Parts: sequence; C-alpha cells; structure tokens
Amino acid sequence: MQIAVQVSELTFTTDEGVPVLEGFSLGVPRDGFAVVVGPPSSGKTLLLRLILRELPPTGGQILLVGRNVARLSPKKVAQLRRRVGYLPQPPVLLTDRTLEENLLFKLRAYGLEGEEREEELERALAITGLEARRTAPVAELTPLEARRAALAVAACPQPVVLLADDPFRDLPEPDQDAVLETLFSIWQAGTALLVTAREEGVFHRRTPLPSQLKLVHLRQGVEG
Amino acid sequence: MRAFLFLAGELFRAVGRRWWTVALWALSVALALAAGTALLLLPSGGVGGRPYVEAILLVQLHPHLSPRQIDELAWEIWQAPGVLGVGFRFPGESEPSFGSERELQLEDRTLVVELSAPEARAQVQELLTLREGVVGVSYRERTVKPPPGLPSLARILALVGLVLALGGSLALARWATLRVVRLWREPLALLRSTGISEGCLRRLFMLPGALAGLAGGAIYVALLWGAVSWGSGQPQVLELVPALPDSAPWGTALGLVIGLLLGVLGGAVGYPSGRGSLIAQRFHRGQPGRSPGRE
Repeated sequence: MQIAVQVSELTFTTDEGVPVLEGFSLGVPRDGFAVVVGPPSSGKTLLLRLILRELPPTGGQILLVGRNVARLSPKKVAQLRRRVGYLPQPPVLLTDRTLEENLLFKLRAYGLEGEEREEELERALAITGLEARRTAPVAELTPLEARRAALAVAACPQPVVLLADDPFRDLPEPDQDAVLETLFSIWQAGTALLVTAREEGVFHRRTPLPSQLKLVHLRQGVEG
Repeated sequence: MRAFLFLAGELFRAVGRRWWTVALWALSVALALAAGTALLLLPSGGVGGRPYVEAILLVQLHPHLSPRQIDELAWEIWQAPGVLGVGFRFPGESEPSFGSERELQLEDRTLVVELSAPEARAQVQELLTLREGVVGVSYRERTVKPPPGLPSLARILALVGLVLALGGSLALARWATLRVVRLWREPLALLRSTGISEGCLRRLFMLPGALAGLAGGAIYVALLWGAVSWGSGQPQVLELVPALPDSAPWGTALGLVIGLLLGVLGGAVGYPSGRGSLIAQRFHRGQPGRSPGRE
C-alpha cells in the first residue's frame, strides 16, 4: 500500500515546555481520507504545519509522499510541496481577481504552461463545481463558493495529497455538507485527503460514509 | 525560471502601484553615491591661506669651485640667519619655483637660497658677496598663491552625509519593501501556502531593490555629468577639484554598479523574514518559531 502521509510517535513541545502533541500516530494511504477531529488548541493546525515541515517536531517521524521530511533540504521540501495541496485556515485567495485568475496565478507560479495549465484549470473548476463562476470576482463569491474556490486553488495542480485545515469553519451546516461533498469529489478524483475539523457532526450527517474514511480524535494532542 | 519571471512581473505590478516609495528609495541611493563622490573628490588639505612673497637669492658659482667647496659653502649659507633652505642647480637647469610662465634658465652652476622673508635679503647678500668662489648674486621674489582648499568641515559633512544617506537608503528600502509586501500580502500568503521557500521570495524582493538601485545610479550619473559639464567651464571649480573632468567615466561605471548593489542589499534587508512577520502571522495564525498556533 502506498502511503500519502505517515506520522509515527509524533511529539511537539513548545519552547516554554508545554507538550502539544505526544506520541501521535496516523497513516493516510494514497487513496485514503483521514479526518483529525479535535477541539480548539488541540494541535490540529500544528499537526499540518509539522507535516508540511513548516516547523520541526520535537520527536517522531513524518513521511510525506514516501519521503522523510526531516531529512530533506529546504529546496527538496519546496519540490515535495508541489505534490501536496494545502488549504490553510483562514483560506487564502486573491480577492481583487476572478476565480480563474486565482487558479492561473498558482499554476503560473508553478511554471505550468499551455495545455497542461488549461487542463489543470478545467479540472480544478470541474471538481469543485465552479465552472459557471470562473469569471466571477472572488470578492463577489458567496462564503460557500469562496471556500470551494480556496479548495480549487489548493487542489491545483492535482496533488498526491491535500491537507485541509478546518475547511468547515464558520460555515452553516448546509454549506458544511456542501464542502464535504467537494472534498469527496477531490478524493474520488484520486487525491488523498487529510482534513482537520472541530466537530465530526458534518461526517455523521452524510450517509453512507465510505469505508476508507478514517476519523481520528485529538484531545490536547493525544490520539483518542 | 519561467515561474520566477511570472512572479517578478506580478510583483512589479504591485511595485508600480507604490512607485513613489521606490522613487524615494532611488533618490536616497543617488544621495549616498553623491556623498561618496564628494568625499573622494573634495581636497583634503584644508583652507589654503593667504598669498605670500617668496624671496630667493641666486648665487652664481665660479667654474673652478670643487664639489666639496660647493658643499661647504652651501652648509655655511644654510646656517646663516634668515635662510630657509639651499639647493644646487647645474648649468642649463631651470628654476621651477617661479612657475612655468616665469621659468628661469640658469647658465652657471648656481645655489638657490630660499630666504625666510624679503627683509633677510640684505644680510645674506652681504655675506655672499664677500665669499670667494661666488661670481654673482641676484635676487628674485614672487607672490605665491597657495592651492585652493575647503575647510575640513566640508569633508566631515560629506562623511556625515554619506553615513546618513546609506542609513537612510536602508531605512527607505525597508519601508518601501514593507509597503509592497503589504500590498502583495494575498499573493504572498498564497505562495507561502504552496510551499515556496522564503529564500525564493526574498530573491524575488531583491528585484525591486535592483530597480531602485539602478534608478538611483542613473540619477547619480545624470547629476555627475551635469556637475562635470558645468564645472568644466568654471576655473575656480577646476582649481578646487582638478579631478572633476576625469571623474565622469569611472563615476558612471561605479555609480551604476554600486547603486545596483545598494538596491539589492536594501531589498534583501527590507524583506521581512518569513513566517515571523506580522503578515505571515495574520495568514497562518501561528506564532513565529517553535510556538505554533494550536488549533
């Protein structure tokens, strides 16, 4: 089984000596969909930042797309990150541009040109159901559309794995359900997902849940 | 490379919306270059002082006088009161102390006696006319105009100006870069979320610095050529700064290169360090370093 993300015995302690993560382990296969659920300040964002090598862990091992990120140089990490999508919290969009321009910005920043760029653009729009809103200024998008737009940006060009930091935050329940459907679309298109969430209600509202979906609870940094 | 060029184009679009900050930055670079040039070109000898009269006695020597006798005579004259110095000239030599316009051709072996004042002439001349081996004594005097100079304060001011302009240039670089960073906060946050390294972003922000530095160098070159063009027609200026006409070519080359380097350095210094910056924190919701946001 190919691994998208493998976290083993992960530990993180702040400079002040406060333990945030203690012996946390998690595996996400290439076709996996994992959700880390935990209350605020339980270390969900920290977990994603550690996986992305934005911070060094105190202990443990992290494999990302089969690579031990601790052993990679910053240049290699930057190369690896091109295969990893990331939706930060709050999501980042260029508010003075259209959705299409947002996607093109990222694709061009990655050096994609010609047909490949067009294909990735169309794929990202289709997978998030935003084809009809491609020319809409981001500032005019509804909160749900904006969240989908942020997911489209995070998921283009198609990553091996997408890390989404609480994509349901500040959305009403119907919009949360819609965002979950968008996440499923991305997953079904062949991208592994590692999502964090404050509550798991949105997942229980959807039936049936695929067997590959794995819910992990995080309470003050300890897997529950 | 293609991606870098694209991002550079995007960044310059943002810079274009804050062009005046870069213009101020370029002006400070030009000022630093001008202050450095002033420090190099201004005379360092201080104020020249008033014109004074130089008195000289030319002592023509007998052809049969031996070198040892000439030496003894020179020592004797040098010890006399009112004598500042004694020099020997061969026949055919000129006495350059009278300047090229009034150069004096010497026909005999001659001792040139420099007097401390014209008043000492009578006493020294009397001593010489009585000496054996002295064929004749003639007196010359000329008004010496000391080379022009500037008070030492001028160089101190140029040095202070250089330090201030360099400091100001770096401060303006930081200020201008931060304004562009603020304007470009969303693209920066998006790029950071894609994992683009801080080193790459810093290199990107060196480009506006290079632009400001080159613009500053160009302003300085224009000022320099203007000063050379004006100063070349001003005898007082040429007397004060003789190297001015020759300074234009090397000033152009050095001005552009140093301006570019100053700008690039300013861009590197001005770019806020990565995720520790306020803007990064806004978008990442974490504290810098090892104290992350615990979501």
